[in-house]
Amino acid sequence: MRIAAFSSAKRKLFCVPAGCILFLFFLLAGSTFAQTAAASTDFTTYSLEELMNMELTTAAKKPQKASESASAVYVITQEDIRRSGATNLPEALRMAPGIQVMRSDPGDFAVTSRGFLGEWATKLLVLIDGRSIYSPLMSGVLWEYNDMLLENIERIEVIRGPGATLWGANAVNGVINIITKHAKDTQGGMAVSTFSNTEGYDGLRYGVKVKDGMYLRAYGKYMNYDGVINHNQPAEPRQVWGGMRLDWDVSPDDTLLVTADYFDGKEKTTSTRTVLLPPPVHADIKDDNNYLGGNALARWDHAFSATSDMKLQVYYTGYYQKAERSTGDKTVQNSSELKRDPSRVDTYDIDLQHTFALGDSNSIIWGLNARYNKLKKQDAEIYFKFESETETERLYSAFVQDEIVLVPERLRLTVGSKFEYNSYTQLEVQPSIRMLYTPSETQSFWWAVSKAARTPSALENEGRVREAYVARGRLFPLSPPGIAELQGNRDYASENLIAYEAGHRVQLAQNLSLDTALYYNVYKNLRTFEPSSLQMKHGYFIVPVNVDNKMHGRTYGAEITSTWQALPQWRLQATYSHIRMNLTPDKDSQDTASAKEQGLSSPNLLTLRSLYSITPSLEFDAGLYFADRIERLNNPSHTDLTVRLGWKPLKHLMLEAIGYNLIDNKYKGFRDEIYARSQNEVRRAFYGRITIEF
Amino acid sequence: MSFNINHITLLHKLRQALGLLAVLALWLSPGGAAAQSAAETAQQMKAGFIYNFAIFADWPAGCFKDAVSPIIVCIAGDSDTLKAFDHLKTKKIKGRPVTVQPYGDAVSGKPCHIIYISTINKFEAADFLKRVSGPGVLTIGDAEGFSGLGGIITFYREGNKLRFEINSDAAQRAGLKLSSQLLKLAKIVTDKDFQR
Repeated sequence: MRIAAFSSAKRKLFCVPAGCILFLFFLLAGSTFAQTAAASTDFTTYSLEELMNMELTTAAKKPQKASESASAVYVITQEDIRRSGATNLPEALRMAPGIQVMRSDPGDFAVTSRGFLGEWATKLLVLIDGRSIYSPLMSGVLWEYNDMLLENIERIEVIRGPGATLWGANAVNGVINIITKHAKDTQGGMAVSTFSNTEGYDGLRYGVKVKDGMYLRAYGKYMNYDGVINHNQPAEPRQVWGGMRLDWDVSPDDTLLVTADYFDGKEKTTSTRTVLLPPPVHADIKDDNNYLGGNALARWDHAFSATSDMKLQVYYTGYYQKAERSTGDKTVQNSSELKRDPSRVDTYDIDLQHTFALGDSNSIIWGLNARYNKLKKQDAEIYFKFESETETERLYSAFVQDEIVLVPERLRLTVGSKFEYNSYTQLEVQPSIRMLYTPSETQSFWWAVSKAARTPSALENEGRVREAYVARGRLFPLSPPGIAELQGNRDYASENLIAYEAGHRVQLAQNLSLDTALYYNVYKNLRTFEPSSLQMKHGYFIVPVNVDNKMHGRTYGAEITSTWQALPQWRLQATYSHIRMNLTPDKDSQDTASAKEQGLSSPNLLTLRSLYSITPSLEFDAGLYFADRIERLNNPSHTDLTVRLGWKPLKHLMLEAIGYNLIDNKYKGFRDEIYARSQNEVRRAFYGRITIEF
Repeated sequence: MSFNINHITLLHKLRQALGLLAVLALWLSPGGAAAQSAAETAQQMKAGFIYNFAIFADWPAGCFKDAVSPIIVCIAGDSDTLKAFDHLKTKKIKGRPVTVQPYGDAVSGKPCHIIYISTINKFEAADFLKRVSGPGVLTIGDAEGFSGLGGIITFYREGNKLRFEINSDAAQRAGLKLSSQLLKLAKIVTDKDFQR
């Protein structure tokens, strides 16, 4: 037995000498140092809140504190959210360093991590309780389809940089994990309502104890986005949300989580679009957009022992969208092209994860995942469609990661890789290696090299978008009008990143901490739009534009966060983020526009927050959010000041006054390049918020 | 040429040696034998909790000789429980060092500021409480109904997580002031809850 194992192990070790030596080093380090390791974990370094959140059964795996992670992590707590005065999810995220958040339309946001800002920023993966809200149709997060009652959030973990080894494709420049509260923590009733000159929301929540160890809550939310955006036409987005969460401790070793949400919304938009009559004409077209969607998730968590834990999760998520179209333009009024069929996206996902300790020094986590996306986007010529009526996409993946304690409490190495198969680009291997060095209890350094892929969306693979109007005489003198047609490309490959990161955390004093992260990102196969030869059709031109991968680039930057507990009742936090982007089209690329995306993020971001409890029942908080100019959009630099006064006259009553965007009443919002809409302005807003617990 | 061959052979041998070493290392590594039991982990977590309790508690005047005299944590439990508190010994709480000792040692004069009674036997716990409860003693226990017996802080398990309840009347009787930061995380009970 042993001899057989010996020879096979030997054979494996003969791959690459350098690899052998490295492997040997880890093995030696792992085993010899482990002998001297103190078996017990020092839990005195955790706060009560952290201790209460630890799972007894997985605690031995040492749940990582943000300060012990070998990556750029920032945690937004429920208190941060409440005291920021944010009324929607994207704006709660701007507290995190390295994350840029801009409004574009009412209810629409551009949110990105480490550059490449866009309304559908393609390189940021977002999950709510383990459910991905990254759209397989568009590559990006549809924020307006993913709102929630912010009061239900326990915390948001914002990880800048690649997270593909654990979370898979599209976790390129960051991963955001939104974790909602355990149903036990939301027992009883809560009602919240805002009064405002602009947008606002009302929410209701009730939690009950079904029986010992089984808790349930249900919630509803109504949201309107009126008036915060200076819009030429009212968009009046309205949304209703409802949902539940069930937490059940089935046995001391088993827990079950079930969540479900439903939403229903409508929105009016008016835009100037190209209609192919033929010839193509420009017309103002009104969309009355109705959408609804929902999701359901179940997760079973079983502990085999103190150091071995398995999770099985299944979920469904989907939405349905239907638009009524109309126009005042007589020439196109009766065109069949105004008809638009509903679109629908369904996603089914199953995920298995197993964590276990191997010896004293290895903690291994591995998992399997399968996902099925079904997309239906059949449209008339006017917007976009697929070649086939329904597009399906299958993903299978496996990952394994080992966290090795090289020197107990001092040096830790994490190596792992995701192996992901998708129907468009086949296999994507996304490895990472991370090292954490903790010379003392108050200081740590980390380094990481990782690879991540942004896989093609259905649209990039085989979509057709006819949107851009090419005016008469634009191509050559007296040329007839035409349209540019964006064409998907079945050979479109993944965008790739190799990221080099380093970080440092130090507790300078009991009440003062400093966290620095540096990164250098090398991108390959970035998306470009390549024009190809003109086609003539029914007396008008089509300028086909193909999606391709003909750009590469580098970005580098730094993020610094400092938190100062000036007084027990006064906390100050500053974050600063800097990014430099350098994108270069390949030699054979004819796309001159995409490289200008480097001017699409603010090179400098600064936030300053102050949380002051004047008395236990009176809070005064302020947040200053500075974003440097956005060259590409011609946006000047901008500072938003948000101020909040919170008063708790009674134990179960909270009254708040919030001033949003106080400095500039006309700050220029985001405008997406691809889906060119008019650029909106964000107005000043005042809210009153009343929260009652019962 | 011969140099090259020798060189390659040498490299080959080196690799073989390395491989051998690696396998030996694999052989020697503990390989899962030393996995901690859940109970040990729970005790270590409780040590973390108790450290935090001490931070958020104020003892009545006269409990300490001076500003730097140690906080004495007594452990009424087995040696494994005592071992779980090892990390506490290196800590300082509000400038005071921490002394961890088995409960038995306390009888010999040094009073306990904190006593952790790890037994889950209610009668044993009641017996301990009768002997140790008093002004300036923070009693912490695991037994069900520990609060009802007059103990101040009781650990309990909720699903997979550790929780604690505080008998505010008992804390008051001991003259201990517990900070609101601690109270807001606890399940608060009073003597009334146990009077039927």
